[in-house]
Amino acid sequence: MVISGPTKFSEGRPLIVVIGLLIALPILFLLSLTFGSVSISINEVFNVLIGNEAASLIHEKILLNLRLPRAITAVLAGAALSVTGLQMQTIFKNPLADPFVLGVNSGASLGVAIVILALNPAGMLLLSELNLAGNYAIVFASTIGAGCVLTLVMLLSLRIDLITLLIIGLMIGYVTSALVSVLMFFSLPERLQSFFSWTFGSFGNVTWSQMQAMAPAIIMGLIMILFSMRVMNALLLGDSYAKSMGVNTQFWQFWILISASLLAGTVTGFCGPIGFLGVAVPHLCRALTQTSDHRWLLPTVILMGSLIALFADFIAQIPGSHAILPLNSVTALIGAPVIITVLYKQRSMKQTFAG
Amino acid sequence: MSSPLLQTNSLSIGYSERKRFLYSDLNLSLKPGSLTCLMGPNGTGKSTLLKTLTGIIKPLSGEISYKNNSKLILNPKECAKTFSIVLTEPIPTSFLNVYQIISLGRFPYGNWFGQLKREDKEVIDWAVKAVGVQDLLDRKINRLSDGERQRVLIGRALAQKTPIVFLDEPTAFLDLPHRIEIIHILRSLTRESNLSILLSTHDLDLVLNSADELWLLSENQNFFTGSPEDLLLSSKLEETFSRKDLSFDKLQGTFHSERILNRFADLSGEPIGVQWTKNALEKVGIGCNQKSSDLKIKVQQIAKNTYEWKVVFRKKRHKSNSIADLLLFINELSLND
Repeated sequence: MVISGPTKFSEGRPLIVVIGLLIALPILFLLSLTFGSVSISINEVFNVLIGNEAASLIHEKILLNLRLPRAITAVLAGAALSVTGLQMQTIFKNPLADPFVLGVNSGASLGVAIVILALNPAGMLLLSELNLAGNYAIVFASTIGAGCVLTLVMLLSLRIDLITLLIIGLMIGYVTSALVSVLMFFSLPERLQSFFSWTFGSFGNVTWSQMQAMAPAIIMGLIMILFSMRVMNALLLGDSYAKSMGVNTQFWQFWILISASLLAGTVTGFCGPIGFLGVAVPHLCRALTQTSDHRWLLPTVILMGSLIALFADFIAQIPGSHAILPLNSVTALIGAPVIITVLYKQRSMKQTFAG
Repeated sequence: MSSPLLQTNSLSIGYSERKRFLYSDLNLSLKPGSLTCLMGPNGTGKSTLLKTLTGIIKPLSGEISYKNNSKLILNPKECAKTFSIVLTEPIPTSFLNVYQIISLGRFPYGNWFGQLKREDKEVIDWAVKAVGVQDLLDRKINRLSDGERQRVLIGRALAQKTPIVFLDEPTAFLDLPHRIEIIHILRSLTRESNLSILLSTHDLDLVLNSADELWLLSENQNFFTGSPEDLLLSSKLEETFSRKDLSFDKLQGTFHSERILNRFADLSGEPIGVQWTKNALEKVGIGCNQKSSDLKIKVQQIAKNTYEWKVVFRKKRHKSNSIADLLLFINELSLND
């Protein structure tokens, strides 16, 4: 006889969440295409998307060259950062871990700081600052910076345990931000301005040609993570139990760190250091689905990450105005209350049941 | 005679980097259908032995064969199908529920997605019933009591369907009824499912009542194996745990801290009453059964669950209806000393 088990109960909730997200995501995606400094009707958006000619050539250009790559970037970057956050929280068994615990963002910002503040290549002065994050030199600099830190961390990860690695990652972060501060101290105000605008983060600077590099890298990282789903479930019981069930923990830690680096490094390179999504989205998804099973969490986190990134970008553009808020401020303003609410609710729930 | 599932051949354990040699020339074996206990004072290397047997630490020399195969320990996937573990370390909090944790035991048999097949579900159901957690399946791990959590973790090990299960102090944090419950579960598994179970413990009672075999680690790098009763009769148990202030009661199989007795009593009467009166008197430093004593106590059972103590102490007579009153009487008269 087979006990029916709790499967119905425990898989019902995640299923509802995933279906809800699958409905909400395309809707928000379309909405984000219609709103902006220029309003474009939903009919026109549809027409352009299915390849018909739009009423206005300018609208078509705005949609295809600006808004569509921007929305796709938000979807990909949101998914990538959130999934990386989930991975880091699982393998480090630390609820505060995020995609940048290993110093990816500090490596990237050091690279960018060197390029903008110290080297100051031609054609990157002053006025171009708003478009800076998409500049090839910047993408190159931040990718190299992130790559150097990651290579160092990867090499270390083969020889030391995870918690030590976490602390070393933190230290590397301090050292690089100190170096950035030194560079900032000696640089001109205009260049500082340019550097700051990179640290604000933006989805709006990825061109179609850059997308050809970014999208495959992110999709590859996500596919790599799919293979680690079941192993991450085993890791939930701790490394000793995972090992006893035949998991090659060292190989999978390395695998997960590489895929996480690929994802976080790529996003930081093209969009700047975008905070908060990586910590907040996994918590939100766990609270909504009430599960730790990565086979449910992973799709939920991917969809939720995309949705929240789109939403944050939507807010950042302040619909109906020309002003643009720094994306990082918006993710923090949305993310922090979400985390606080979720954690507060869980805490009080635990207390009720413990009593 | 069934062939052993695990056999070690002149195995030496310890830490090579710290140059710590703990035990050498260990020839151990685990047979199917037996409950083996591993005992020894703290710091003698119980964990090191368990870690060596499960392949976490490399042996300094010698070999470990599972199912007559000395290479098996090098293959983590085969190991996962040969032995499972239950640890003392707490598992990280998560939203995993009891059913999910027990199903994780099927990990070594699954594909990359971990879809449970019919066969897997049957094994899980068997494990759930064996540890009696049918009513807890939906419960999240952080809402379980210590005893429940231990049963769930044993259930997870069972779902791994291995012929050997290693448990590191499975009864450490449990109260007496839960300890007995866990041991009962483990013992029935050796009898009904022919498992071979090795558990480390500090609980001598448990060992004497349940173990088929005892592995005894002592501080001076001695190692004894045998039935617990044999090790008791040959005083190996006593020697292993011997301390200056500790005495071993061979009849009861229990250790006592050495008591300083400064008075003796002539105790007689109903046996159960006598036994517990003696227990109480020894705690306050009064030994028993000395005929030449000025303290005479007679215990009588006057009704069900009711006893009476007649005392003659320094020629004063007294009748007590409780041990507390008896001790009070003796104490008051002793104050004049």
